[in-house]
Amino acid sequence: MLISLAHRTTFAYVGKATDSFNEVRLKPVDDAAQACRSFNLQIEPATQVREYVDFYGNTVQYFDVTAPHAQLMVEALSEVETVPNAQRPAVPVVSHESAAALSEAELRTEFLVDSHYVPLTVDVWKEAQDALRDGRTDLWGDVRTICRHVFSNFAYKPKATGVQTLATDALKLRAGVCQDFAHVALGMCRCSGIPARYVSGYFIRLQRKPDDNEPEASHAWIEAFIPGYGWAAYDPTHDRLADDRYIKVASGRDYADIRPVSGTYRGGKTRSLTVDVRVRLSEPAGAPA
Amino acid sequence: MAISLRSAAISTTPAEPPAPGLAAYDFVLPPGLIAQSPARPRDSARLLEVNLQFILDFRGYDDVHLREHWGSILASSGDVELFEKHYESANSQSVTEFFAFDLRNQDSILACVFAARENARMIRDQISVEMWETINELYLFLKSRNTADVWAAGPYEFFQDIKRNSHLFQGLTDSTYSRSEGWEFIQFGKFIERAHKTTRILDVKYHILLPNAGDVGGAVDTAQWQAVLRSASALEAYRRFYVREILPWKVAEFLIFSDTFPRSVHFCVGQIDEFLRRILGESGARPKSAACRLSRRILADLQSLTIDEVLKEGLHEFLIEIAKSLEKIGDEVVRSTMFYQADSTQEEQQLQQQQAAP
Repeated sequence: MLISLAHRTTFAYVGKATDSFNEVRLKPVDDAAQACRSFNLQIEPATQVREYVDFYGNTVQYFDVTAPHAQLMVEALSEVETVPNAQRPAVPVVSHESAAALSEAELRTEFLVDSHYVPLTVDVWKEAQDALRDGRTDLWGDVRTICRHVFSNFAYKPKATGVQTLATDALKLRAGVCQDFAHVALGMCRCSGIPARYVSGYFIRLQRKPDDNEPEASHAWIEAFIPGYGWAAYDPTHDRLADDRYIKVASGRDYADIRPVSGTYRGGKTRSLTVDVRVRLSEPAGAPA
Repeated sequence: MAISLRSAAISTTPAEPPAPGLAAYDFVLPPGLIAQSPARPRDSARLLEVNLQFILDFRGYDDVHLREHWGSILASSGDVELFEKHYESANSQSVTEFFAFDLRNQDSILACVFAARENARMIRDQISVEMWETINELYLFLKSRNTADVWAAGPYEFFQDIKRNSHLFQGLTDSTYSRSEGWEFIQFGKFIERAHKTTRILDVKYHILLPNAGDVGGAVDTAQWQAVLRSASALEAYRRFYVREILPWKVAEFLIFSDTFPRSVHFCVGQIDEFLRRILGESGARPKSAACRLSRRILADLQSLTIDEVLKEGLHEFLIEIAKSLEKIGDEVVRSTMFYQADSTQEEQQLQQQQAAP
């Protein structure tokens, strides 16, 4: 499936901002499940963009705008081709015992312990116990059980949480958005001994009607490490595999590692932050979407 | 002033005018401990200021006497409002609590030592372990005491311990700290603080212990002036100078004008001028900075005036003038060397939540 993406972030400041230093993680990854056909990052005011690859393998673009500016616009345009579901290998059944016996398990320790948004508290552990009360199966089976539990026990409620909300707070509210769903599911997986990481990206809504004006946004889901297979992706917000409708952009321990746009500047407060995301099929022109 | 240097170092806010209070009961608070941040050049060198040495000398007074003095000591400290906000009456217990242990009073001994320790902790890699341990021990010692203990066990020993500890810190700084720019700042802060405290100590005697005309030179007056000398650790030094008697104007002359006593105002201002020369690079005969011009001016006064002239013009006014100048000098050095004055603070770019609707 060929998908075109546009992600525009606009900061408007009270007065002027200067000395603005920013990092963006907006470039779709190239891996076995998808290929990034094109990527173009536009910054306004125009400036030079450089890039590096961070610890988690994400491509990070960075730039600075030192001159005074009232507004900063960051727009990423990309086109990604995802591998059809039929060509994707199934996630194998791997028992907890055989996974634990592997000496390489410690290589993924950072995905088993606390991270900023995902403190492993007793409450998180209890929630995982509740989810798995019918007994544990294999690794991937448990991941799906946990995600299904989050899906059926948590309400999708925009504005109930914010970008700084921790998994533990979302757990108390039993509500949130995909970012919170992912954080809670991560905590529960980690408490159950399954290495799990946060994935940032987009998904395309295929049954979108032309007059559908619902705002789009970036999406978040999780990946669990299955020995012999690699990172397997599951979306707790929809209780489904992250299939060919999903475009992966970055991964890390939690939101803090993959912040799509982050940075610092000098000057007044931010008056507004506007995020415009557009995810469309880029089939031949004129074809029905 | 070192007081404001300290608060500035902690909060990185502009220096506030220091409360004039400490000297009211014979604090001598010297050193400024500064560390240069290795990442930054000189003009934005970070100052970490350690207010360490407090000397409270109660030797001249008995307990009953002390209580009588509390009210006026408080009044001359300039902290009356703050005190009255938190306490009902001024007695030895409440005033000791307020000046020694109350963290709501940012000039209390504990607050100062706490701030000094925090600063030292931040630059532990740059000071000797002996310096760190001394200041940490002082902090732990203070934390383990309370007002009731102090008055039960004897305040003299308590303050003596603090004094010993701070002298130890001075000595250790002298023998273990490299003669770098940081050392110049420490010395500058120390002498600013010393000169300031000496003016306050003299001024307190002027205010509080003002005797009846007939008492001048009497036993009580002599004992009180002796206490003033002691609180400036100057009794023996004075005795070597004026063997026979302790007379008010001679004490004042000694504490203001002595060429050689390291706590006299003149000696301290001479050192301040010297360290300003090094810190601000004031090599010319005519200084470029307001701080240095001011230090030259009071140094000239201290080198040319006589005690008779000072007494004629008014000792109190003279001391206030000097104290104010010292504060200005300290403030300007903080402003021009310690902190990078950002025109605005750094803000985080607002983050976007990932919230694609299902």
